[in-house]
Amino acid sequence: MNADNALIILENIAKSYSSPEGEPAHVLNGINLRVAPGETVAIVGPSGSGKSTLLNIIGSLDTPDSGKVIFDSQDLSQLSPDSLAKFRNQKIGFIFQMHHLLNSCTVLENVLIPTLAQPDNEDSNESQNRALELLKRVGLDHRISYRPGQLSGGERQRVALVRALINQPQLILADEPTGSLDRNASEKMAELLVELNQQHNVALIVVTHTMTLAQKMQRTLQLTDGTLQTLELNKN
Amino acid sequence: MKIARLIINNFRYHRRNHISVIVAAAVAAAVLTGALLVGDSVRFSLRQTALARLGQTQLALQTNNRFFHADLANDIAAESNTTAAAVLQLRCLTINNEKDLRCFNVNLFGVDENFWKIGNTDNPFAAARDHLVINQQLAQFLDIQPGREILLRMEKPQLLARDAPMSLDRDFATPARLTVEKIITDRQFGRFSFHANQVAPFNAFVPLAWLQQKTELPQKANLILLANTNQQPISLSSAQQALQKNLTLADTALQLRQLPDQHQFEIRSERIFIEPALVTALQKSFPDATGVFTYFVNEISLTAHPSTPGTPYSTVAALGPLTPQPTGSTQPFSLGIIPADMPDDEIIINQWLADDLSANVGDNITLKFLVMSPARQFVEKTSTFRLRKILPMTAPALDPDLMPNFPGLAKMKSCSDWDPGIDIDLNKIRPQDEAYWDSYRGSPKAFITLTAGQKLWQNRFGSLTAVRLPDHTSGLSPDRNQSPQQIENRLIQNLDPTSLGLFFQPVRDQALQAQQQAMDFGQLFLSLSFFLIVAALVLMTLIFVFGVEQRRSELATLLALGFTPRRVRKLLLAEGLIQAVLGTAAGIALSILYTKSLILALDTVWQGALGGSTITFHLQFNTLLIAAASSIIIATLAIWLTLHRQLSQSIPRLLDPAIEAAQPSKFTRKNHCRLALAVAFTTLTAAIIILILASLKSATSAAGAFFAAGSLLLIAALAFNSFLLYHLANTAGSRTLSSLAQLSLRNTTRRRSRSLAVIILLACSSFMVFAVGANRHNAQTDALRRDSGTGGFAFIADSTIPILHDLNTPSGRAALGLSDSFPTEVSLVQFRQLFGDDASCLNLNRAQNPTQLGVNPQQLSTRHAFAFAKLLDNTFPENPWLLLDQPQPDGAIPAITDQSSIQWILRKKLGDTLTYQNQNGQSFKIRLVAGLKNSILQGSLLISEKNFIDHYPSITGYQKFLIDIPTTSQPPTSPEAPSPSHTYAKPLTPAQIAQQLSHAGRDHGLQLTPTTQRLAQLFAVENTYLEIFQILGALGMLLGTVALALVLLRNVLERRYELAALVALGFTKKSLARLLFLEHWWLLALGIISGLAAAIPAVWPTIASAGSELPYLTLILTLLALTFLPLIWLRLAIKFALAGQLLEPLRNE
Repeated sequence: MNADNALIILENIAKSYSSPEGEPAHVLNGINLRVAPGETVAIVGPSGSGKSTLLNIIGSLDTPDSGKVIFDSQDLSQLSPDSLAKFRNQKIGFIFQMHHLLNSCTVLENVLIPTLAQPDNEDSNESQNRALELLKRVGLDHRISYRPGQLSGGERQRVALVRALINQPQLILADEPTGSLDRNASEKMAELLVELNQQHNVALIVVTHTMTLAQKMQRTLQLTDGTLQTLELNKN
Repeated sequence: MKIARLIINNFRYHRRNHISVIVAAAVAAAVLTGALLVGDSVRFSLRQTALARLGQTQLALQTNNRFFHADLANDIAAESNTTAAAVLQLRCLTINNEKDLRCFNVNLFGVDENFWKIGNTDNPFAAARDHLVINQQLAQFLDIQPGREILLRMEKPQLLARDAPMSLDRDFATPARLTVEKIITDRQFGRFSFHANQVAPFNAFVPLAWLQQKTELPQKANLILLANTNQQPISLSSAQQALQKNLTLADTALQLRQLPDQHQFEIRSERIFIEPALVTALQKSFPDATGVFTYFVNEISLTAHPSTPGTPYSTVAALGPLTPQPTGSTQPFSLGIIPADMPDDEIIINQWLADDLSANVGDNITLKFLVMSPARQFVEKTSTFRLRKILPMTAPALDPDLMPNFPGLAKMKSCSDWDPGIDIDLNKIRPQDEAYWDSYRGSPKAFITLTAGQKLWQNRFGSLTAVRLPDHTSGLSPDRNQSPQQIENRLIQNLDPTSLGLFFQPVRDQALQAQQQAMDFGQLFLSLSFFLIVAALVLMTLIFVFGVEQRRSELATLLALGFTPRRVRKLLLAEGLIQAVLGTAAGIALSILYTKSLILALDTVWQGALGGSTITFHLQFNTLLIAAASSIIIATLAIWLTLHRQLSQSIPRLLDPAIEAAQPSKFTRKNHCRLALAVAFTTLTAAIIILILASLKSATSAAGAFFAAGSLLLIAALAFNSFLLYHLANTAGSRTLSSLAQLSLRNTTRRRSRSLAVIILLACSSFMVFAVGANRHNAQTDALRRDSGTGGFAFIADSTIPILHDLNTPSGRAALGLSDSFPTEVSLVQFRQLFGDDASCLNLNRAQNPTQLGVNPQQLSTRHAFAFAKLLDNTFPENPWLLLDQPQPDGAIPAITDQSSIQWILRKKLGDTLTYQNQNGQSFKIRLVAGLKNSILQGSLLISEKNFIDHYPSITGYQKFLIDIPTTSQPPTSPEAPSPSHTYAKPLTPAQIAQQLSHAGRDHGLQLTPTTQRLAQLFAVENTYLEIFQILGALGMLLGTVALALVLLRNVLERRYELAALVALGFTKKSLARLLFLEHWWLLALGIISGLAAAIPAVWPTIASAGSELPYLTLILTLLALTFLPLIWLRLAIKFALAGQLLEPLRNE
């Protein structure tokens, strides 16, 4: 993989937090990473190793103490907060462990929420059609008028997945997308992620400690002591 | 671990939220306690005032224009073992010439040592000094210090009433220049008064002897104060018995004298005419006595020669048995002059007159005489008699003592000095008339029967001028035991002093009753603060709910661990109780500060509510206990209801807000929608029906219905809002969200109860602020209209000293001193006045004996003056003033007064009666037959002049006036300074007319006030109440907006993950701020629009009525403030909520 076809490049990303004792805890220590368009990457590691922090930095939800995040040849640190918001809205789709759907809105409305974020988004009819299509794709077309409270955990996460895709992002960042799901639901979710990745040619970075999910990714990286190391997994 | 430990742990851990609940509970408790403490303070202040104005006085005897011997007080004191003070009480006006300041309606008291003793204070007069002591109120008004001089113009009462025939209409006042020796405080008895009013009167005190001498009323008094300095109550009956026992002839104004030449005793009155009560006593005591009525006639002439001048200005005596005698009476002649069988149409004259007229027996003789109307207008009348007999110029026909002591005649040396108080032409007096006066003085020249004389000349002051008894001590009678003392004793025994108006009144009891039944400011402020208290409770409940919601998982855990909901509720209720108790304790402490602030406001900016009095802070422990208990109960109840609702949810629902948002089921929500729509439709229909029915009546008479319709509309609007919230929640998903506004609207349906609470709070407060604000009165509006509160009159005037004449007549105007240039088109409505308690809203006490005004109803009915709020019956729907002349079946006297006085001050309704004692001590009833609408006549009972005179015959003259100036332009704002922009009809402006009237009436202390100014004073009270209500309502609304801000913050807190996710999804802070703002803006808009829409019908009567004008500017400013303030709150809350790292929750996940 060369720099020219990389979707995202992380250069020497470092991040530390203050520990309760006052000493800085170095969570990320000079991380370098390149992800190509449509590539799927799993980041694994023990709890507290900094996986989510790394994901947040990639998605511009957090900023590194040092280093650069370059997305599609653009240095994210150069963007204003509004531009970052627009960037997130149009280039990235997020899936959180706790889905964070709007309880007051129906499934369909939740999916369409990102289309409201930027005034110059495409017209709502097209978005709605796409939302319906995606929902059908994930098997939730019969639940479009349901509210999150009326869905199972797996269903909620699938809604979150569709929401992440609604603006046709180049990259999906999923933070423990199966963390709150049972085994069956987790597997189904993992398959869905890969399937959608292939269909939409969207890059996928998944933070997980579920090896079955990691195995489905093209690359698996282990975050240990603040650095990433490639982990070879048996794909079978 | 014990449960108490858990409660304490919880309390400590959630202390931040608990403190908010405690603060809100404290606000509610402070407002509630503060309202009650204001009530305590007002009650205490009124009681202090009541006690200060009476000192130790328990009973008082007051008379109207009757003077008794001052020693009567000492005699009663000795008899009843009490302390008594005789007082001579007069009205006066006072002038500080140095500063050109005049004070009208000053009470002048001639007092002695005993007065100060009863006042429980030292005598402020240095021994035997003719100085003046004044109270602080008067000193402040005149801006005078001790040592400076004051000019007094004192009423100079006459024993003969000033509007009685033959009375003089001059010398009605006497001046005096006195140095102020001391200014006394309320504690030094400076506030002395019998009138239940919190406003201190203007009082001046002089030594009794000085005043008696100055007013030529030696040894006289007209007021007795009775006190027991041992604080033992004095019974009314024992005081009255002591009075009866010690009454003397002098106290009744009767005089007994021996007439040696006639061998008779004569009883006559210092008041010239012997009043009916005394006549009755005389008839009982001396049934065989002869009654005398001597009158002054203008001319006696032969009827046959009408063109020939007759004998001018003579006295004619009517004589007859005092008690009608049966046929065959033993008395063949009255005073040896009038035969018992003489008919009423015959006359006997003396020889001098017969010669003067060349009259012979059988000729017809005509008497021309003047009779006087109540307003000192003279009407000449004639009566013809047949000459029966001519008496020789010897006794008994020659009896100068038959003429009473007519003030302008009796002491005159010659006829040319006569000043009889009626119009006489001295040029008509001939030399022979002078010669007759020189020789025979006032000996009557003619005699008629007593019955005939009384028919012609009897007046409201009496029906006799003397009673003659044979003098048995002269040796001409077989009964030698009749001494003057025995005559007096016999008369006194048969005399009921009450019938002369000599009776004690329990003034102390009355004062305390007036104070105890006074307007309850505690209740008033509770009502005015109601919305604020509710708002504070709603706020407290909201915060508490937020606290509980924050602890949902904790509660769910407890339930999952096996706690029963009841036990969990108890646990939280215990925490809530601690919060309620702590909040109440803080609120009670805060309430003292709050009460003092309210009292400060009442003493300054809200002084209109107290009519000019001041309030002393007073705290009663019982009140604090009641307030504390009420606050704790209310707060705990609110908390209990909240807990009940919260803990009725299932554990999963408690654990997962998403489930809660999805619940209740669509079916339940649909039912809720239906219910809300049903309520909205029902109340809307009811409101429309009421509005249709009310619009058939006049807007003003159906004000209550309009307000009810407005209130129903408010309920309809709130029900519709509830429907809207549920409907939006139901229809989620049926339409695509295409904008932030739609998303925000959807989000308002998330917490429907919370949203609805905010809408209700804002709707109710904006309804109140608008509906109440619109009811403020403006005295200037429609002031020229007859149906306005001014009655279309330009000025209202009060005179300190009564004006006797009809100022609508040329003679009356001339008598007052008005110049010929005074416009004839200016007319006056004149009122007789019996001073009593002010029954207007300016008086906080409950008026026990309201002031009575006697008026000729025609004067108001022809003008169709003033508007009526209510009528007892529809006898005269077009002109209810005529009700005053309408006899009542039970003999009660019809009366009209302001509807506000009836309802709020007297606390009566139309048809109710008030009992008064008339001048003769007889009880009579006054029935309220009509209520005026917000008029300048508020405070007094209006009865017809005829009824007034019948019951108070000796009250002379007029003391209140309405001045009618026909003009098409605006009324003046002050009598002295007309606005240059006003254009009045030439040649005189209303201000100039007022100036002329004030100048002419200066000696009477005539004080003119523009009617709009008087109306504004009265409106000030109601307007102040409305203002207080508005301000407290606005504070409630402020709390409502705080609730709105809290709801916002709470929403943000609850949705922090959601908001973080939105940020992650690409929402900017700005768009989130807009989203949050819109979400809450909907609540604000829905609340305020609902309140305003409902308020419009409620204020419609105000818009439609005369004298009312919507204060558009104030309302618009208030509404703008109340709209923008919440917007600022929202902005601040949003700024606060969105400050910091919105993504933090995601990072920490």
